[in-house]
Amino acid sequence: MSHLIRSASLWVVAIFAAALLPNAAAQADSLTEDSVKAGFVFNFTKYVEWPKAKAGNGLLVCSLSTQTLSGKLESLQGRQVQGREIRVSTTTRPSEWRNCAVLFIAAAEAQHIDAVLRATAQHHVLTISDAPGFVQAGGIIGLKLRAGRIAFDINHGAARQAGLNLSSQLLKLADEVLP
Amino acid sequence: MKRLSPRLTLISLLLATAGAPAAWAKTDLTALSLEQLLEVTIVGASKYAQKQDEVAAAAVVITRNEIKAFGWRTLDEALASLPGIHTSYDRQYSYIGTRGFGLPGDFNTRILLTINGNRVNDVVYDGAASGRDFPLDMDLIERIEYIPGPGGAVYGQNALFGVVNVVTRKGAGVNGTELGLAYQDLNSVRDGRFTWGKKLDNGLDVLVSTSGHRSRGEDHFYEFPGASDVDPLWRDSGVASGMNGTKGQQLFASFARGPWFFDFAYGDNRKDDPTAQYFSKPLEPGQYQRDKTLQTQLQYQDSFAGDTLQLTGRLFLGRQRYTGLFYYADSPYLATGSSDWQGAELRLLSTRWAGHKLMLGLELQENTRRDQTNLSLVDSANNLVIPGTGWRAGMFVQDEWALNNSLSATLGLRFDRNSVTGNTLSPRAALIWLAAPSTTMKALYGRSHRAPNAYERDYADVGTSDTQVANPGLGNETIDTLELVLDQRLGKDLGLRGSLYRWNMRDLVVLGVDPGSGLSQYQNGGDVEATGIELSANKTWDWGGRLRGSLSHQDVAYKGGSRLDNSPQLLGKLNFSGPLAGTGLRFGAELQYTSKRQTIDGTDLDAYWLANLHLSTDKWARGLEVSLGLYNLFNQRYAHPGSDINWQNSILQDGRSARLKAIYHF
Repeated sequence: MSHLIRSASLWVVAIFAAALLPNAAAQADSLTEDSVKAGFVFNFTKYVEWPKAKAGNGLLVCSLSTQTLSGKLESLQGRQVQGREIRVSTTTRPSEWRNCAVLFIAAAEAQHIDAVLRATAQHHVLTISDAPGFVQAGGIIGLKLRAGRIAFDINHGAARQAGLNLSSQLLKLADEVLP
Repeated sequence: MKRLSPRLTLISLLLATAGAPAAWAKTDLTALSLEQLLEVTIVGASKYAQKQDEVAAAAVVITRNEIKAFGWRTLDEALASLPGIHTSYDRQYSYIGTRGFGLPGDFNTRILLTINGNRVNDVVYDGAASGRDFPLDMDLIERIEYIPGPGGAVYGQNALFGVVNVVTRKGAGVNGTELGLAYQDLNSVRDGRFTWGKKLDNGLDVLVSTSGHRSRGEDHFYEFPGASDVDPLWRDSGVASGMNGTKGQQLFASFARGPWFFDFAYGDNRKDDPTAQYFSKPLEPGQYQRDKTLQTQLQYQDSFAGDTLQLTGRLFLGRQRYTGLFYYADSPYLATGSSDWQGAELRLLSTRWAGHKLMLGLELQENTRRDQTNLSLVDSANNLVIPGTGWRAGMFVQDEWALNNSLSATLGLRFDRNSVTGNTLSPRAALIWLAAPSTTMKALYGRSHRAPNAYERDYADVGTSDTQVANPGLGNETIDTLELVLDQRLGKDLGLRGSLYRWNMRDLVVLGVDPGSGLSQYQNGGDVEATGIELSANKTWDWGGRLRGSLSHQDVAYKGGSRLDNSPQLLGKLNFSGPLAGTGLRFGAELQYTSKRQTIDGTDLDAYWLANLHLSTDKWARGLEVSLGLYNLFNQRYAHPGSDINWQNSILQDGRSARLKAIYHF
């Protein structure tokens, strides 16, 4: 038992030492929901294979407004993924939706979901949204909040119809996969 | 294993992290992998998660994918893969030991088990079915949430060592029909399942499922020391032939639409008894124990006031029927325990005040029946009937207070009142520090109580079998737990957790001897102290592999210094799963170490290693999943401790077995 008490004291000392050192806490960014979601959007692009038609030099990531994810999507601008550079388009007009590689629709813009899905069908657009019921409605990836963390569902059929190849790793990490 | 070197690694790691904050200072979420993002806890989340997840603790989740990867057949097998859990089986029931505590014969009374938040623990025995008697088919589980440590401040009764919440699949996830069939060579176990689920166009999510299982059971040799002294016709040992069968069925349905959720679970399991439990007649065919469990609930959950107020209301109902047939010298006896309970729960969660998540809860449960009988099938003069009723009510308040961006405190208090032991208070306090995006530290304190159950308090057979007297004065047992948790992400895809805890149990309800009559009696006996450390790691690879492992060291002793029965000091777990390149197969390999355990006669059972291997594929035909499970791969010979209702001091466990399973989805 005594060695456990010793290890306990060591732990306590270590934790408090860590706590007293400056900066660590102060500089830790608050991980807001929107920035984490933007992180998810970025990560998804690593696991998706677009057909040749969409395989230009740039990867166009679109949103419907500048307010989408509090503008956090713009932080992806210029990043490299699969050897391509991400370009972010914030106030994407309906006529341009089909040109996007990724299109994010915020829950607040849910009224546009049907229109977006109709317009992008079969145009190889990875549709992502945090609106409830998005994958059931035919969207490809739906983000949701669960247990204080973000999880995601995938509509595999919708991805196939869009001509997108999702990696098995992505499917494995998904909470629910609709066939 | 007296010197745990990983401890030093963790400590140096802690210091290294703290000393180099610059690396974490600029939170670039694109630098995190998907696996890491899935672990990030959201600060200022707009919707409140389920109450289970809110508990500040070293919580762990087992997903459906893992259940599929490792081919776990029962709930206790899944839980056995988690840090600090040791399971036991006595050829009748499965028992879950947590953090060194698993007294032989404890029907999981110190763990709260729930299905979708609805409690499984009955009101006669407080039992939480975790083996074949668990009323839910493993294939219907979406995930299992395990929250170790005291949950009394939110959940009340039974949540002394942890809360296990089983979340079921939804109709949308099934989306069609599933047929499942399985066969296992050892014990000749056959399983069948039919499930239908869908989210209908009108938004109603439906899932209905029925399963059945049957097994012949192997014959084993058992000792019944002293049996011939009880009755000269009884044998002291022998092979129990044809007395190890199991049969049962399960029914489950759930309906969800908008804010409404309804579920219904029913299970019926009958296990033949080769061990002659309760010192009944050895080697007598036809002795069995059977459990029928029904539980159902209607839930309503919605948000109001611009999403700042979340209301959850629940009406629940449970029924449990235990029957056991035992032969004694004079006649066969049918022992029964009947639980009827129903109640309501209301929870309010407000995020109205910035920086606070305020939760308020109210729970009422009425136990309209908690009857125990022991009926002689020959002479009704020997019948024993112990009727009972009761109720319990609880009220709790909890605040999750964000002190700043990286520091939050959880303060909670629950007040309980019940018909048995009166009033109790269960407080909890937690400090959670997000030291860096990859580092979280938690300091947790909690107290939980358990009121004695009807079996412990009321059971008496004076004048019939003369084994046990009641104890109307039996009081609560109380546990205090202090815990430090460190969660650390290291580089890409590696997560580490260290947990150091100390728990202290007072007035533990144990079987003692009534000085007046000399008969057995449940009494508030032991004070137990424990210190332990749990270290776990979780690593994923880009190729789809996942490795999780843990090492737990637990020192548990009565205050006088004597050791607890069935309390292994060291537990090791290793779970490795992933795709087998080029084959279309997925593998799940499992290795568990359990150190020696003390039995009730004071001797030790050997330590053992247990390995399981599971292979599965869904690539052979569209909609078809086939799997092969090899359990106890190396045919390890090992035994679990018997309890004070067993003739046997230890009970030998199963050797190697193979199970073939197919699921067809259309």
